[in-house]
Amino acid sequence: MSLAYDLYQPGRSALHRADPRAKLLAVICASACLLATQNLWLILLALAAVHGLLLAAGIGRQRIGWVWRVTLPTVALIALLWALLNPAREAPLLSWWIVRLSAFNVAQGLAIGLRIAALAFVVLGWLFTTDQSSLVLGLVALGLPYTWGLTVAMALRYLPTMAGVFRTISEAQQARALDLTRGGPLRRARAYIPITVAMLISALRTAQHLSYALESRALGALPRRTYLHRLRCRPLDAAYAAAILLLTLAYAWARLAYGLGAHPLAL
Amino acid sequence: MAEAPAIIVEGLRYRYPPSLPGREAEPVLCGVDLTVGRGEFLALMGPTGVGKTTLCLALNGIVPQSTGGVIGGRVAILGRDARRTPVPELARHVGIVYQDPESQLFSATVEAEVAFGPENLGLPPGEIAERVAWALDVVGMRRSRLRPPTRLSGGQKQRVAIAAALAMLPQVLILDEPTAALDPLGRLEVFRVIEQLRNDHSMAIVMVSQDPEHVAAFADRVAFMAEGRIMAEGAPGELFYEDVLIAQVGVAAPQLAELSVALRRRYGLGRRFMHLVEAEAALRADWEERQEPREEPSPPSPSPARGRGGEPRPVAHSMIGGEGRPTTRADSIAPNECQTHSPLAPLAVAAQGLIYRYDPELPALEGVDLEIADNAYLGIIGQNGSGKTTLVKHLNGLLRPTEGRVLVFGVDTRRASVGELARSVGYVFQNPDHQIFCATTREEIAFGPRNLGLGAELVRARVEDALAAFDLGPYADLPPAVLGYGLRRKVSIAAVYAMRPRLLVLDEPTAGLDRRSADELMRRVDAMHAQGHTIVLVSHDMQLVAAHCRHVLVMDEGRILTQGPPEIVFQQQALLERASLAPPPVTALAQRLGDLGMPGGALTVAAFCRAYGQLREAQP
Repeated sequence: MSLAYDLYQPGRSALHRADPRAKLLAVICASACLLATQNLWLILLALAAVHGLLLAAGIGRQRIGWVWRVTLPTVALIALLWALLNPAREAPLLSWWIVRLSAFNVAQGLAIGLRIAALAFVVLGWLFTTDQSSLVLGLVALGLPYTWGLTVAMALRYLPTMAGVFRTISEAQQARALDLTRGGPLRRARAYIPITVAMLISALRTAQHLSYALESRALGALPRRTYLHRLRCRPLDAAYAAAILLLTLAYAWARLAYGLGAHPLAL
Repeated sequence: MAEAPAIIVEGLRYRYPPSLPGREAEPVLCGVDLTVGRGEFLALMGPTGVGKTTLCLALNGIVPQSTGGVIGGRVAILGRDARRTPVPELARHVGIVYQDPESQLFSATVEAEVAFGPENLGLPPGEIAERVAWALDVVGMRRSRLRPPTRLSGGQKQRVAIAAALAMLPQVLILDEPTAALDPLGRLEVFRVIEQLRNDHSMAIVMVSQDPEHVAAFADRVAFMAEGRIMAEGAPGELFYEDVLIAQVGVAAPQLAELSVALRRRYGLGRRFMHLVEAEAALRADWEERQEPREEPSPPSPSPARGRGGEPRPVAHSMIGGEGRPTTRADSIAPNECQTHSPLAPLAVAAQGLIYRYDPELPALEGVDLEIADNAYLGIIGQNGSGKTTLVKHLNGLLRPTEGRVLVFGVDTRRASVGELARSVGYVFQNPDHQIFCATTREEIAFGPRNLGLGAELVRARVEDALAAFDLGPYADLPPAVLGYGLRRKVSIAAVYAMRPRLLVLDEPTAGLDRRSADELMRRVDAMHAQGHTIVLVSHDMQLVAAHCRHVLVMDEGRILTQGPPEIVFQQQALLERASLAPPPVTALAQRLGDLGMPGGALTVAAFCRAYGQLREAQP
């Protein structure tokens, strides 16, 4: 699946129905916790939990697979480079030329790489389960001006669309015998110029048409607009927020007091 | 007292700001005069680049308030000066639907999309909900309320865009070629909604369209625009018979109106007709008037390749041939054309058991077997999502078979890169903007030949040839991105033409083009075919396919439904209906007149005239 359409997947799960502010709080807290930990097991646990939540919310395996396909090259590269090139702190399992491969480094490389995947899942999980209107409402409720919230939401809405346009342009240029695979990195980078320029022209046209469409639908007619649906913070949402904060504080305490998550392997 | 018109445009002149430094833009509107009454549906037709979109944008104030530029004259919408009333304020009264759904549907759900306008007007949530429900009911999309607009079909997207405009309860609705990129079913969906709005809500509707068949069926009035002004206006039933004017303006008339004019000129047929039922009645009346009393009506003439029960026999999975006949199809009733071609003829393409899946659970192609002979001229038709583009993307390796294989001039596409296949296969994408990136048209055309590794002299020669062949000389040193749509389309085709591909794939080459530009473009394509190129044309335009292609392939749900010469395929009513397609109007008319002895395979006006003339001569 290429996600050529949009990130949001409609649904009625608890995650879908949760207040977008509570979900945003969860994203911030989870990201902070992930950035604070270097422990492979905790990161794997976080990944498993996010996968569980997404599957429970009805997010399809294809969508989850897409996130893995997008992040896996980065995860693998970071894990490999870290494991191979970082000076070994303990007796290496394998030693060859300048390479010293130790269990510590392998675990640390994997932890750092998988942390990126986990962060991606946390953010994309939020976007997969939060529709654009709720996203804007959430951001506006947090004090952001409406037009800023709308800009963020539309940037996210058009991200996959523009990725689709990029793919089509790339196909159109390759059909004119543009070779993106030959030569060194510089030549390959230069080969992308026709695609990038065409993409830019296309994006500018879309942006212009979009601005006409927004004006034509009375954006900015009044200083304050109304909304079809209002955000309602249910007791359950307050409970979610409280639980998220408690868990985050608990982890912060454990991290500071006991160094939980400081070591790649040991808990 | 008569009600004041909803739209009054008087002496409207407009010039965009310069797109290139130091170069003054040409005036786009040069004195437009137009009025549209409440409850009236006006269709605006004209060649590409004559200012139709600019006029639409002037009606809702985007021109000149957002675009800048120099404007003169008067635009009054329900008594308001559109040049000075702020666009968001005017939006309460004027709804607009643009051609490209992608840039006007920006919300996550259909409901949010439709609610966006009323929310901006500061309405209470209850009223917004009522308006959303009403607007979605009007366009028949209520059940899709929670679906993402991006997942809808082209026709559904445009219906949502109309609903989004309607939810603001405008008294004027402007539609800028909303059906240009839609398949036949999508087009009909949109026109039906417009008709309903005109009838039930007394809206003033202005719709830019290049679709004379639907305009003739639905619009109250037509205005022809050329050279930045309205050249003529009147009822479709009057204007579409003005063949000299139509040719002068460069638009298309409904095919049956063209036939009516041609029969009048050739045989002095008195009755005029534009719709199928009246055409049939007119020709039957003509027949009966000429006929002397006789005992039995003429038996239906033997149509080519009829199967049991008289149903034309599908020519399934035979080789699509390229026997190098002359290109013009005016003489298209040729009874032997359904015969399959020699198995010894060289093949351009052979697809064997082709299966392709974008999604493991949703195959886009399901077991396609196909042979296209060298120098064939093949048209591929079918609804959106039927697998047409997926199929042709296999011809240059942009897609690789999930199962099966595709051989292009003997090369297995699984084992060749797109760049290698580009030496023999040219692919012109539907949207020219996906191709164009160079600083000049000359550079743009040179890009492909250079990628093929040709020498500088040869590249130069190819570029000059392509510029001449497509009449692009005057634009050779201009940036193609700033040219009008019709010219950009030509540049995109010239750029592929310069690569001299043996096989040329064209995806909707005439979408959004006016009649004159489309005809001109197709003459170039015909000339390429005559030079020995194999042509594969993907199109929703049945008249175009019927007039130019030697073979037609109908796709439906990832399979080949039928294929064969157009004379045969367009007689297979049941199969066409299954794919939500219809034959060209003259072909449908010929079939209706089968009991008079009219051969059912007339594909063009000229072919029909000739066949009808022969029939009259043979009449007792």
